[in-house]
Amino acid sequence: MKDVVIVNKANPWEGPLVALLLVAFTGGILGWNLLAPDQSFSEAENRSLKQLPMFSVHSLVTGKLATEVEKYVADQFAAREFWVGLRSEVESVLGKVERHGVYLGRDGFLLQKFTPPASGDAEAKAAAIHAFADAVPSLRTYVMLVPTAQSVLADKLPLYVSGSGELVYRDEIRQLLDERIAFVDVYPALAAQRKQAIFYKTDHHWTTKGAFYAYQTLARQMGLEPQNEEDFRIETGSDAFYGSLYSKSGYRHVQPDSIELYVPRAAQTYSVEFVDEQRQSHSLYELDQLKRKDKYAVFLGGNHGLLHIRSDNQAKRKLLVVKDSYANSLLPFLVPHFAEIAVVDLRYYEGDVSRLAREQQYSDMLLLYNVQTFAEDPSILALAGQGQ
Amino acid sequence: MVFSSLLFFFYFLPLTLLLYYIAPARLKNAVLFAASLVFYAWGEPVYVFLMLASTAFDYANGLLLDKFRERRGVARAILLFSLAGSLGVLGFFKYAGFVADNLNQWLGLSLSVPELPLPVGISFYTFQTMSYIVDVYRGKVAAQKNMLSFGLYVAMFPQLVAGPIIQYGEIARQLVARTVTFGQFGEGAALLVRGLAKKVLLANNIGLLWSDVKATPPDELTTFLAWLGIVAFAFQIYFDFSGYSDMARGLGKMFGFDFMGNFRYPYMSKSISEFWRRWHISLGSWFREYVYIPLGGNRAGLLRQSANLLAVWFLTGLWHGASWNFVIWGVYFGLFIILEKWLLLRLLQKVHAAVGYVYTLVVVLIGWVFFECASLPVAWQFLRAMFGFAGQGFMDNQALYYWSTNWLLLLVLAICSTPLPEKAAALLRDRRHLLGGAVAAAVHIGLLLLSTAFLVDETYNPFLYFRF
Repeated sequence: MKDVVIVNKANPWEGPLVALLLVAFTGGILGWNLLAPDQSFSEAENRSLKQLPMFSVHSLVTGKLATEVEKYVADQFAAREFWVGLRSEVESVLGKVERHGVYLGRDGFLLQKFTPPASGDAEAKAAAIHAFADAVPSLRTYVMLVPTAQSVLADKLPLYVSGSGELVYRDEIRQLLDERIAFVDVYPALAAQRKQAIFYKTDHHWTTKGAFYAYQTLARQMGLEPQNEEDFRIETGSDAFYGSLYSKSGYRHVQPDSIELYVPRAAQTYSVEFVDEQRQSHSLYELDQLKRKDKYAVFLGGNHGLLHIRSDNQAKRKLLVVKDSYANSLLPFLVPHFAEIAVVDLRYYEGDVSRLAREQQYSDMLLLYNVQTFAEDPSILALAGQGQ
Repeated sequence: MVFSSLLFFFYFLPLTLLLYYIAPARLKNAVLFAASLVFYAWGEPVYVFLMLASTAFDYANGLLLDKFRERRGVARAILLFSLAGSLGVLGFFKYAGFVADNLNQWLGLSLSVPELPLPVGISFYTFQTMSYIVDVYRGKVAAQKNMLSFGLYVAMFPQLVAGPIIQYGEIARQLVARTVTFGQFGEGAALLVRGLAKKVLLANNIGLLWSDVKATPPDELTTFLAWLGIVAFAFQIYFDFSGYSDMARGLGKMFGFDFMGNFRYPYMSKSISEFWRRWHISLGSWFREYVYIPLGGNRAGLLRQSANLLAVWFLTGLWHGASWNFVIWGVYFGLFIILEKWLLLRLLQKVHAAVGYVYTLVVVLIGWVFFECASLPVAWQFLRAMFGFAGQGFMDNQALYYWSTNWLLLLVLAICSTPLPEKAAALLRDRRHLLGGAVAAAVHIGLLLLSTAFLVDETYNPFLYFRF
């Protein structure tokens, strides 16, 4: 076989030019990929990047190695950020307003898409809450399911997208709960303040302001005198917060959020015990987190299996909170109202919550989730009791 | 490995091209064969031995047929032995579970077969080795004595996992000696890039729409959304499959091979018979050559021809997957083709051409419902939704949302389903100076850049042929 160069009949330039460009591009990327050092973390996507997998005969034969190498190649690809941005540009031009379960809404809002859980989910979760109430009958139980931005700010959703799914699911749960359980409906309070920044634009959480309005509703329902906004000095913790929805979606042309902290004007002293980490603190805030990527972790330093907040105030009641990360920014408001607050995140807690509740003799319990986590997270079913 | 992946484009391909072109001529086949084994073994590290065994089996049978070609009885026995072996392997891996399920259901048996994953490409390479054996038996081609050349015919990575199904005679000479010109290499590279863009930019994106519609219970679909969904699937499978075939042809050209075109604007057909002359052409040719004509084709009257057609379409359906919905899909087309032979084609000639286009598209779209809905009740519900019997009305916000976020893509897909882009490119190519070539090259590199972006941030890149 001998390679002979002949002239392409149609256009003499096209073939050779395409050939050269393809070879140069693929070869160039190959060289770049081989020479450039691997990255360990993507700031923009807020996740660890896949490292070169270890070779083993087993992983080769099962095909696991192939899958892992493919992930590695995609994660460590030359100029990864550029390509991710380019793709989202093209999709925007084509009129797509949803990527990776995130809607590109109006006024710079990114909103988390709600996918209703399989049928039977609401019944199972309500049953778990009832089973817990049966196991610890002395507790006054409050359930707060927070609608996310896609329901409260439904007008920010793209054209023709319905934001009603969350509320339908939440009301289903509400109907199923019996009268022992106090359902805390924060939708009216949030909806009334919808012109204010109660949700982040680039993150799936509510802002401290949103959490504050929900706290006022909760406190009234618990028979407590809520604090007012004037009781706090509002400080800006950061104004360069690109949150989880920014990371997940790949939409890069959005403005950052600012994180506000509500600093109480009256002095409070309390201690925080992080049980799993065996660590004590005197603050519910970890300000160092404001310098990192996931700035919402300024509240409690993220999620923990179990922590105890003990105050030297005059309060009598003791509160058990079972929660997702929405609670992290609301908890500071509750501190003056309770002598002690135990905070359990079922996704990380391995103990038996009903035993904890009985042993520590809490008077109240608050189940606080945003509707989406409540719908998606199976660990809530553990409330029905361990080993069942 | 699949073509539409970063690993293939940015590691495997440049390295294979480099090795292939620095290798001396006598080693080029060996390089390509070794690369093909790596390509196949990637993700299928066990079944690569099955493929090698199938190859060795029919290599040996080919030699035996050659040796006994004067003794027809012996040759016939070898042929039957070889076909039984090939069909046995295909049957075992692809149809055993299906057959057992049906026997259990109809005869009340309780057979159980081990659930093995289907070896990738088995339907394609088995058909290739069978065509080789039959052609050697018929004396149409000479047996390949060189094991490497035969191995390359079966295993060559451009066409290994998703066709086109190449009949041995088409490339027998190229297996031994071929030349690659710079222009031909570039033509291949351009075809490869266009195929990639079809798969990654067009098929995968419209596939998202279909997967959303498919995930909706069919009794909740409005009429508009049901049609939108099945149109989306029609575009997805066409651009996916034809894109993959284009990539195969392009890669073939880059290594000096000329494979047949597998698709020729099928949605521009005026009848179902024409549609199947334009859709998956290599499969159609295979069934025509090795089933339809041996059965007697059209030589024994219309009635016999109809029976032959029905048999061919039953098998064509079954080839697409071991499940009744594929059989129904195949027979459904068979019936339309028979109907066209008896009557319809003559009627269609008398009316405006538009009637033919619309008729074909509607029949094909309804066909895709059977192809995509594995369970018949679901397919039936979907058809009810398409024809307004699901009671959900014509249009709702969900349908409007999908329309408003996809109409532009659908427009691009519709244009790319016609020869318009090719005609536009031909105008450009006719200008024989540098500018025309540069613009064409720029378009291709643009497509490659965009495809790369979609592969890097990949969320949805399914491989549709795993059942074949």
